[in-house]
Amino acid sequence: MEKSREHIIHFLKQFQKGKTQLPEIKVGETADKKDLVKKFKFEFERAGGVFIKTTREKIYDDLSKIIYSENARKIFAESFERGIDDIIKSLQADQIITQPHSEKHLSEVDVSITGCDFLVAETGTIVFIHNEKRFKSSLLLPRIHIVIAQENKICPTFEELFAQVGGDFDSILLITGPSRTADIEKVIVQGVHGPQKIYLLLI
Amino acid sequence: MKIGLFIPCYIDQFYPEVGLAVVKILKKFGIKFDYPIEQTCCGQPAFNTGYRKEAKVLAEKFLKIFSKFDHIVSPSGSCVSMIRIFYPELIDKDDIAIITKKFFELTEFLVNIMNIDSTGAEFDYTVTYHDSCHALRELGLKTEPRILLKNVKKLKLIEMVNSEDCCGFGGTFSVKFPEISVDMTKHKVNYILNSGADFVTSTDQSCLMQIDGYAKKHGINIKTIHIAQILANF
Amino acid sequence: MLNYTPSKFKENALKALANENLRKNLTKAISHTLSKRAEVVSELPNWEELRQKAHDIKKHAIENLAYYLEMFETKATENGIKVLWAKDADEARTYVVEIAKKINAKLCVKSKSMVTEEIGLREFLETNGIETVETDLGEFIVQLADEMPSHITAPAMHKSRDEIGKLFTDKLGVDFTNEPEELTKIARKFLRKKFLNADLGISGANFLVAETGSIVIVENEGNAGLSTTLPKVHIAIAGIEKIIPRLIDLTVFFKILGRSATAQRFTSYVSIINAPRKNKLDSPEEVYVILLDNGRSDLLRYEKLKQALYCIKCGACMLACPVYQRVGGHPYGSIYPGPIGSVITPAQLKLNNSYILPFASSLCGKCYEICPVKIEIHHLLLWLRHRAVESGFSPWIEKLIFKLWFIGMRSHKLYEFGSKLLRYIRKLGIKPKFKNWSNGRVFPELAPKSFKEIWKNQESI
Repeated sequence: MEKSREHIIHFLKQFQKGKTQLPEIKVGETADKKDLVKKFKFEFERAGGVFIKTTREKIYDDLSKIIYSENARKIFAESFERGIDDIIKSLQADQIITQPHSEKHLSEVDVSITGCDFLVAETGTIVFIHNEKRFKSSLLLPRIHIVIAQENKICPTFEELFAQVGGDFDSILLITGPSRTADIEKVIVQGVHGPQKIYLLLI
Repeated sequence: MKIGLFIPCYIDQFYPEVGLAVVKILKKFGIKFDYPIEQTCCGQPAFNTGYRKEAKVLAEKFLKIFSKFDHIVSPSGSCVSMIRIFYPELIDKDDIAIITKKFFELTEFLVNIMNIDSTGAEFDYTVTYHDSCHALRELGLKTEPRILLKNVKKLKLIEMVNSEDCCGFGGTFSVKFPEISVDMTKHKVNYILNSGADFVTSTDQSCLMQIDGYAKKHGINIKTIHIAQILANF
Repeated sequence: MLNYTPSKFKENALKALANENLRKNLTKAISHTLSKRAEVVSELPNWEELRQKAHDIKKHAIENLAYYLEMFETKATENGIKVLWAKDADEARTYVVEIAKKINAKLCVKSKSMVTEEIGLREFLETNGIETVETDLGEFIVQLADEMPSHITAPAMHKSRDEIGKLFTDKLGVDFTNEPEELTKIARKFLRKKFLNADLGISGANFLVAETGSIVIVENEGNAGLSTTLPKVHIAIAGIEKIIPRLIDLTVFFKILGRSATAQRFTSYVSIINAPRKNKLDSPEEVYVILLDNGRSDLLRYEKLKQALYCIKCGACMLACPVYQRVGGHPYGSIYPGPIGSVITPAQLKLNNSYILPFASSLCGKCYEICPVKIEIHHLLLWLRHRAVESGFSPWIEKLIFKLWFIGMRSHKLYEFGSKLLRYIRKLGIKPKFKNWSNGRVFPELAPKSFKEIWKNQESI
């Protein structure tokens, strides 16, 4: 392997130019927060997501409505701050899991309720930074995914997002709408391998 | 200002009337020009088929023949593309770009160099314009031919759908892959028919030759005419 | 697997031209995508500026490839990713099987990756006793049908829903349905089992970020996310040209990739992977990146060809090409079909007799017009025709014809003699019979007098 590495690098170095400049990519100005919510909602819905503006008072009702209408029996929920945690624990469902013991365990739930790290308004994207507390498979395995986010997490563009996040993370998953395909006659079908529906509850 | 006239080889042999139309236009505007008799071919057929050695010899000869002129005009977007865009690839001289910039297709010469937007011609027909690939994508000509056509008396200019689609000629492509080539022409001919125009015109006789050849073979009533001939109709 | 090789392009293209069903499927799929693409592109008034930025970023990266590859390797290794270098397909495949055997892998799930098709990875794994399943729906369909993908981002574009329905019934034993939603549900159920039981996950990479040592995977279905999360080991294979310098460069490509490849504003999922897992439950314990050369560095030998390495494999050029629109991807006989494929196949993959591909184009230039990174594909094709002739690819009769033509054109006296001779022959009533022209078109008539003759004989016209 060492031989290949040396061989490739040595060959490539012959053609190294170094002269051209990289184009500058500006981060841009921070827009008004109210406009950002509107923009996020518009793009998120256009991408097939379901956007619900909620409050701490309303959130139990909003969550219950979704659980009921989606006929969800088994739920996985991340741990949030105390207030939200209590609300989630009191939802009507057969099972509410917070500590899955395996990926197979997670694959049996109907709904996962998670937080997120950022929201990007320009494309309606939800940003998840994978760490010890978040399970990437909880974002992909269940049929329905509910994200609870706070308004202050919105940033306008990806330029801003990367400026804020930097390079220090294990992995990031950007989610923009439900799982989909157009592989069969260009007909769009939602819910291929990932969730069929994604809800965002914005506090 | 000394102008040279470049008549492509296939126009010389098959469609001299197109060359004569250019002469008529240049004379009308009192433009002094000369047609160097030693010209033969810009070398594009060889270049397009991969024979660069031969193309280079012809290119060098060609530039020498036209070196005494300030500008050179030609009724062919394709040949002018060969000179302006591809001669610099063939010939590695410092001033090659300056030399080749002197060559112009007819409509860009009239509109952009001579500031002429009307030749005073008359043409009482509906005409649709085919954008030849070279003229459009290599030389960037979209508005120049249309400006001149719009100012022809009694001419009604109607756009076909997909005027920018390739006619299927592509030089040696037309005989290496004739079935695909002809299928592309079939679609182009349909667009022309659907436009309802009496005539289809273009800056490139090679495209019109392809379209005309197909139409005649299949008994389709489409009339082709080079834009120089319309503009010289006075 | 049908006999698809570039040398059979003409034969297969003719079959495709005559295949009404295929043409219907292609036309429908392509015109739908192109019109959707026009819509989403028009939303970005600075589209041309973005194309140029993307071109410049790629140009810089390719012109400093060794530098950025080493940067990537250093950063990724620091983060715990193991970086391997493979000079050719053989070496890459061997690495994968070695890793698979080390962990005693029996089942492997694969997300969509052109590079893995390029090196024939799936077949190699299977002959080594490792069941390998394509998880992208289009690739899954094509795998079941034992065919080559026909487009690089829409592999099953050439198939109708009826054909897919029948395929599922035949191969998966399910009741026949041709509803896309039902077919997708069937695939989801079947593949879910595979995801959960897989030992090894293999992916490609749309981008490798040098600055942060990141693997970036762009997708819509979620299969790449699952393939790179559930199995214990994840191997990402990427061509060395996938490197981009900075994380922020992604913001440009985010805007143009989806729009160009699938006419979307943004794809459902983007995974940016820097390191193997930290928590006990989720994500791979080991992540490998295999940097694959396989002829790519060779393209740098020629200043002109270097551009081909800017390609982000979106497939837009194929949608725009009038030849591809008529015959589809299979006649090209290569993993990379269409315009950019006609460059990559002879220049990088160096497949036998693939020099015919650069000639199968009218050079209309629509590929260049649509390319999001502004590769002058039509000019690269011309350049490769020159290489073809230099390599002795042309038939002797063509060489002879051009030799004679050249002699005639080089001297205007010979040219004029030839001109007179042709007219004499014509007067004798001999008409040219050249079926490659005459089968579809009428020959133009030689004018009685050439322009030269008229000019010479009438000093004042």
